[in-house]
Formats: sequence, C-alpha cells, structure tokens
Amino acid sequence: MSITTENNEKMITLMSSDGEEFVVEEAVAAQSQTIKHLIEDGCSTEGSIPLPNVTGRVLSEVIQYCKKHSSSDDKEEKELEAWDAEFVKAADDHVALTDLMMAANFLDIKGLLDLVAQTLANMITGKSPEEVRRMWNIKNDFTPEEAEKVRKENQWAFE
Amino acid sequence: MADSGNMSWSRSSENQKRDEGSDDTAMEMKHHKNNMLPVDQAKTTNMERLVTSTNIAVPNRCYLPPDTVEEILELLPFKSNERFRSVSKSLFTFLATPKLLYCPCEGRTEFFQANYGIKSSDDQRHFTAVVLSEYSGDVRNLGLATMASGETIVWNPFTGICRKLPLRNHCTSAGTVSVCLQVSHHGKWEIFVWNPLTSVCRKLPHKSSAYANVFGYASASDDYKVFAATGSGSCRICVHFIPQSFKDGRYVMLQFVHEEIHVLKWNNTLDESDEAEKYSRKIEF
Repeated sequence: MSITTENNEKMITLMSSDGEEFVVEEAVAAQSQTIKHLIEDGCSTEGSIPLPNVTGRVLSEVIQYCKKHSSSDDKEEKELEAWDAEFVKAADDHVALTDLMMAANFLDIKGLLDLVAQTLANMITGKSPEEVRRMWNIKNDFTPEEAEKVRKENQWAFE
Repeated sequence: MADSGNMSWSRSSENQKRDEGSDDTAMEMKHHKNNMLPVDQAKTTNMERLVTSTNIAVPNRCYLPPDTVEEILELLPFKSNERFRSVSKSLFTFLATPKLLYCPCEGRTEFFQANYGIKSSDDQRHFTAVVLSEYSGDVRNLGLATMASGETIVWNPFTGICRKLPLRNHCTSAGTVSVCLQVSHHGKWEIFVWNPLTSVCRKLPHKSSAYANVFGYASASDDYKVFAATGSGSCRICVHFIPQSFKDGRYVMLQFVHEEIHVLKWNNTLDESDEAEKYSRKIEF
C-alpha cells in the first residue's frame, strides 16, 4: 500500500509550452530523466519547471502514464500491459502518437518511448512508402530513376 | 489510491477540465497546426515570450526528427523495413547503411575466413545475425581472430539494418560475400540471401522443415546453393559460407546452439542437396 501524502511527498510543478501548470509528485515527475536531472540541478526550487517542447494536452497524457507506472510496483505486470494498450489506443491517430513520441523523447521516458514507438511501428508495418511519406510529411527526394532502382532491388518487399 | 491521485493533481484538475471542455477545439487545432501559433499568442501577453521562444515546439506539420524515426524503423519487421527504403533518401541511407547492432561471436575456428554468430530468439527485435565476410588471405590465422583484422558486419534480418564493425579491412572478393540466413518471420521459416557488398537482399521461395539450412558453394556447378541440413533440434539458424577459393571441399558449418557457436567441419564436397543431407548426418557435436 503506497501512501502518498502531500506532506511527505515533495511536489513538483511542471509548466507546458502553452502555460498550463501541472502539480505532480516528485517520484512521478522523476520518471522523466530530463526532469529528474533538472530537479537534481535544483531547477525545481524556483517555481515551476518549464517544458517548452510539450503542450499541456500532451503533458497531461504523459503524466497519466508516469503516474500509472510509478504507482504500480506491486501490480501485476499483465494489468500494466493492458493499461498501456488502452493508453495508446486512446491516442488513436498517428498525429497524437507522434506528439506523444516527441514528448517522450524530449522528456526521456524510456518506457513510454518504447511503447509509442512500437505502436507507431505496428501502425506503419503494412503501409506503402507513399502512405508513410504522407503520415510524417516526408519529402520523396528520389529522382524517378533512383526510385525505380530502389524499388527493383527490394521488389519482393512490395509483393 | 484514487484519493492520493486527486491530491497530486490538485492544481491540475482545473486544467484538465478546461482541456476537456475545449476538446473539440484542440482536435481542430491539431489538424490545422498552422493556426495554432496565432491562437496561442492571442491568449495572453505573458505567453507571447514563451511561444515565440519555442517555435519548434509548435510544428507546422506532423513531423518526426530523424533520430525518432529511426527508433520506429528499428522495430519494424524486415519486409516493411525493406519497403520503406524507397520513402526518401535519408531513410534509404539509414536502412541501407551498415551499423553495428550486436556481436555475440565468441569462439574459435580454423581453416575458414568467415564466421557467423547468430543470436537466435523468437523475439524479432532481438534477432541479430553476425557475418564476417572479408577474406584476409592468411587462412590459418583466420577464425574469430579474424574479427580483429577482417571486416565484420552485423545484420538484423528483421530490421534490415546492417552495421559494420570498425575493423581493419582486408581484400574482398565479391564472390565471397553472399550470406544465407534462415529466419523465423512471423512464425514462418524463411530464407534470405544477402549480399553485404550490394546490400541486396532476396528472399528465397524455398520453404523447409529442416532445422537448419546450409548455404554453400557447390564446386560442380560453380554456384552457391542452399542445402537443407537436419542438425540439432535446438539449432535455429545456420549459415554456411564458402568462398570461391575454397574449392578443395573443406567446409565449415557454424551453428548457434544455446548461445554458443559450434563449429563443424567435414571434408566432403557438397554437390547436390541430397549429398548435403547425407553429410550433415555425419555431424557430431
């Protein structure tokens, strides 16, 4: 039984890029290596920690994840897996997942990064190169000749 | 549990509510990120400084930086990864550039210039093949010691990512660098033949129930062939590499069994697959 009281637990205030403030327990926030290092460097003592790369919307999702994963030591691993699955399902389109991945990358939360990367990988597995380009606005910088050559070399992968 | 959760969220619950209330707007903004900047800036004057200083935080389009894309690519099944080489030049470069993944090879071989260490696992992400594919010229000093002098290529057949170990180069003969890998792909055994020099990988139509397949040079037809080998039940992958200069019929088969490399030698020439089948029965651990 984990008892978290506001008296014992140090609270940290995080500020998103759009100015939203989130108050979380230090243990929750410290799941982000980036924030952990900021706390260690004493950045949390003077008001809130600004996170200029993360919007409030994404940050609230990230905190949800961190809360779940910081309080689940004594929980079944399977339950956590199911929770993770639901969590990424809620952010169902690739835009939301991409935002989440960027945040996980910036905040350096390995578990979340792996989870979202795997979800995105599953999402694009069966897609065509053109679909992948559209998803992330990747420019096709091959000349038609080059494109043909690459395609020929990997023809079997298109079958 | 719920109580403590609320405690820690005390100040943010307001924000949450606000967020929920403006859900539609947020979605709208997501799809028209070009509009996002002015909207945010109009919010408060206090915000202006923050927003302008973090333009990168509000991308105009859905964009992933290259290192993040690579995180995803590393998780892709082999076939998708091959296909995505044609997405763009930078993706092609990433997917086709030899990169060091993992090198599980330890042990000793003689008489042979190529070694293969394969980490076999049903977990695709951890499936890695190691291929030493350079000819150093001095056959007696080869074996795994060659790793220090020859070139080492580590290849993950599921991601298609190849990595070269930063080792000294020796002469290469183009005919000696084809590699055959039998991999379990979505529960199905498939065989890939890969030439590290050209980075071209082909899937063979062959399907085998054998525990291992041997890729070898058949001197009679002067060609490389894949032989079925019935070896140890725990052998998941078997790579056979026979350089053209080795027409005298000395073959070495390396098997990866229980995370150890077993080196098997026999002195017969593999001419046809039946023959290979026969010889493989002579193998003893």
